[in-house]
Amino acid sequence: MVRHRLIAVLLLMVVAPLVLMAWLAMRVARTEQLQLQQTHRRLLADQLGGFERRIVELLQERQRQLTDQIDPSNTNAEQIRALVETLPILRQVLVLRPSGARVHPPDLALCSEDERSFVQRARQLLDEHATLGLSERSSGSMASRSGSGWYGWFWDSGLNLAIWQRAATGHFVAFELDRHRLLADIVGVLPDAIEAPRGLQRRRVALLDTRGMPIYQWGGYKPPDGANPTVSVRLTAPLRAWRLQSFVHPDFLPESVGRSAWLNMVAATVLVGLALLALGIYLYRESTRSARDARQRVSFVNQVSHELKTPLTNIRMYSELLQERLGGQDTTTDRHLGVVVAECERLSRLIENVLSFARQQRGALKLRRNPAVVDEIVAQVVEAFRPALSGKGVQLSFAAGAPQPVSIDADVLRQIVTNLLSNIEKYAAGSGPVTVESQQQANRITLTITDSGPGIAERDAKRIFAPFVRLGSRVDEGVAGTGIGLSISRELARLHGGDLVLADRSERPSADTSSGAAFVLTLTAIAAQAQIEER
Amino acid sequence: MYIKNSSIVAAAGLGCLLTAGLAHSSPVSLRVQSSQRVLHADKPQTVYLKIGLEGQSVVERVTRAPINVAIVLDRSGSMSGEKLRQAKKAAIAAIKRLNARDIVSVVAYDDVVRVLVPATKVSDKRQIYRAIRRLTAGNMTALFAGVSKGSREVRKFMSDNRVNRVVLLSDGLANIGPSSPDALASLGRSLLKEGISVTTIGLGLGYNEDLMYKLASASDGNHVFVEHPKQLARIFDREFNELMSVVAKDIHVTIDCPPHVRPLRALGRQARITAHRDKAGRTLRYRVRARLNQIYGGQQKYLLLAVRVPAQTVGTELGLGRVRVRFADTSTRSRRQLAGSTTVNFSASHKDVAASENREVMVAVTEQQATENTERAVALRDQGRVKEARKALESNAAFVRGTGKKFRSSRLNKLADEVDKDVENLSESDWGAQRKRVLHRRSRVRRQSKW
Repeated sequence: MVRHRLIAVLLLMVVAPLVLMAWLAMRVARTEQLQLQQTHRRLLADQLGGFERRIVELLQERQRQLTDQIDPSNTNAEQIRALVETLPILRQVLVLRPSGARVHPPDLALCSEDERSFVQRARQLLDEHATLGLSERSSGSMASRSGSGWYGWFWDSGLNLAIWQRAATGHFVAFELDRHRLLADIVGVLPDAIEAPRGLQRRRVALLDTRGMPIYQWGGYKPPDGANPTVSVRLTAPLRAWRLQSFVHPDFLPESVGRSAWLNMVAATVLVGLALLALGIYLYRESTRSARDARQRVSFVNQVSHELKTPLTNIRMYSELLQERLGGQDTTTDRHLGVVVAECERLSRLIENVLSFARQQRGALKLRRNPAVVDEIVAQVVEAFRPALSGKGVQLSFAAGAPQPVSIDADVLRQIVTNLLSNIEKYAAGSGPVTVESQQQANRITLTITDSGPGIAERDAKRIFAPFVRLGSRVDEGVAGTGIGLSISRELARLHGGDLVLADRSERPSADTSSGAAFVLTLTAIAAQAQIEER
Repeated sequence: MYIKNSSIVAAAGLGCLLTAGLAHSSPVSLRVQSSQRVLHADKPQTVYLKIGLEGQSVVERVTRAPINVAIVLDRSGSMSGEKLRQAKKAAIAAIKRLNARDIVSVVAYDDVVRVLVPATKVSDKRQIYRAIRRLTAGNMTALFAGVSKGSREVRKFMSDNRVNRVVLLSDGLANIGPSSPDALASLGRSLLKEGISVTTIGLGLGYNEDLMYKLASASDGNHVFVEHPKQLARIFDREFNELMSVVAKDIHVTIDCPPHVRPLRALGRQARITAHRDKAGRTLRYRVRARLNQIYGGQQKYLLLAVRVPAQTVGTELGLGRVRVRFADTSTRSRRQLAGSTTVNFSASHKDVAASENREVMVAVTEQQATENTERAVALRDQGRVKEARKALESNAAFVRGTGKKFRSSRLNKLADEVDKDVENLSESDWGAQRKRVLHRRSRVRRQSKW
């Protein structure tokens, strides 16, 4: 179980930083990518702006070229026709009197076919010319309006442009541009596919008309049909209906620059992940090693105890046989044999405890219930300890109160009581009377052992039940013991459905007012049918 | 002493005459003729005025004017293979004939335009050939942009003394940028104003002949239909021959008609007809203006005008109009002017009227009218009205043959035969291709060229 938790913790240790790192890196990469895209788009837009400037300059040049070419108050048809003949950009000219009457083209009967169709074409211009150049400050009189500018209108599925000018006299002149010539001139100032700088080999720039059809394009890259442009810029007036668009080869977009950054990020994450994993595995092995070592030690101890058990059983058996055979002959012999047997018993108890402890560590403690009488078992142990204890100035008395046979694990009961009395032997020597009291209520067995020893301080009350804990021996010298007695006793009691606790002083039998300790053992028994077995 | 003086004077006088004669030797001679010298009296009628400009034969000229030419090649996908190979060969062969005073540029277009050789003096020919040879086929066709860039290259070195031309070769349909015949015609007109003509060479049966023809005719260039790539070399050769034979440039023709004489239209050429009121403010006086870009040595270009003459009494002599021609002499780089006119008489005698017909003028008029008839027939066929188209062509053939017989003109007889052949082409299933064959004669007639 511990192992699983350890693995879970280590996995978390490995995965959590990785996830965090990956998330952070992704955020950073995303932000960087967005910024790159922004910058790239800005650059492209700037470049398009540069091309747009060329177009604007061309238009301004045309405007300069045409403005003031005619003095509308003092001109005639021949002069205007000669001008139209000479200037390639000029298609036709409209001249109006301040009253709005047409000066040129003249009377339709006098016009050429081109001029007649121009009058048709310029219908919209004729209608709207009065509003051109109107400023808010104007008081409305014709004479106050002047200026020049551009006028565009749609004719025959295309944009038609004219440069208009209003003279101080109030005359109005409009120079209609040949829109195909204008486009040809624009194509002239824009790059061709070779003149373009090398960078343009991965790009394409297209100039689109009002219908969104490309009218001119350059650059080495041919985008697939229906591809969206990377950047699109509208031209300024008067060509606001036109657009410049930039297409970039996908390999050169920042999106794919991000792709290599992704690769770096993934590589870094993987490396860090591997490092963390290695660390995790190392830590795991380290911690399990100590667990493994511990298990090895326990296993060793277990083995040793098992090994000891067999010879010990023999020693004990033959010592008891000897006791029977030589008993009563010689006090010295009796005494010597008594010591041997007692020590054997002690050794035996110790080994039992260790084996139980080992089993408990493995989680292999098991109860074996059989019908038994509690008082009989307790009495046996009490009698076994009586000689040793009285030799140390401790008088044992047993108040039996559990005569009914019940189904219990007799060995467990015996082991616990033995441990308790053994402790008394170690810690409460020469202290006075020790009372053992048993009670039986339904399925509950209660055993109280009270001594007159030095007692156990409150701060130690919990500690003593922890394994390997031995209380300081300022009172006793040479106290032996493994410190597992109480621990294993409690475990066994709990296994048996009960508990082993140190009694509060207030819970003591009223008869006893000494300073010693009182241990209360409770067990849960199962009612058994009578039948006491022969021992 | 006396004899010496007189001989000196004589010699000086002769010298003056000679130099005067040489100095006044115009590269172009003007001839104004009417289709009839005698008209019916007492009724209004239509008469044709032919203004002919003949270029002096090149042999007599010393040096030719330098050429400033842009070669614009279509490299769209359809040109790949034999067509492009032959085109490159033809271009290189033509450039070989240029000298160091000439300027050439080469522009290639597919969906984008590449200026392969920016306008440069023809000094390092090898580099130019290399650039041309490297050309490979591409994809779509930005014809408008190609012509725009080509004309821009020509503009770089444009000057009064150079012959400025764009030679466009295309085999396909323009599909990027403006691609309607009117759009290209508009561009052509604007180029003519600054003295650049566009010659269009249509290769194969897949191009738009209306577009190519209108571009050429609007800019006073040549349009040629070439069916097989192998013919390209010869076409380029002829074109460059013409370029090298230009004797006059920037020709403005103005015809001022007397009161009541009304020009109706020009045949086979663009002309602008305007009017103004005379000083009294009542009578309309018409003026016709036309523009030609060049006159070639040894060739005649003409302007044919249909004119409506009012009823005049017997014995009246009426001037049909005062013709003025202004042009630039390419050898002297000076501007010159020619003037001419013609008159008609009125008679009650039908015989006199008939006898006065001018054969030369009538042949030209017939040719131009026949071409117009063919165009109308083609328009009918375009609409799917095959029967009407056929009838129109057949009556056209009859008309031409009739006039040919009347004037004993072998030229017209040949023309009638060709019109007969066209009738067969009308019913072909692949009309798009056949159209070119039917219309190809139009370019020849309108070009007023020998070839």
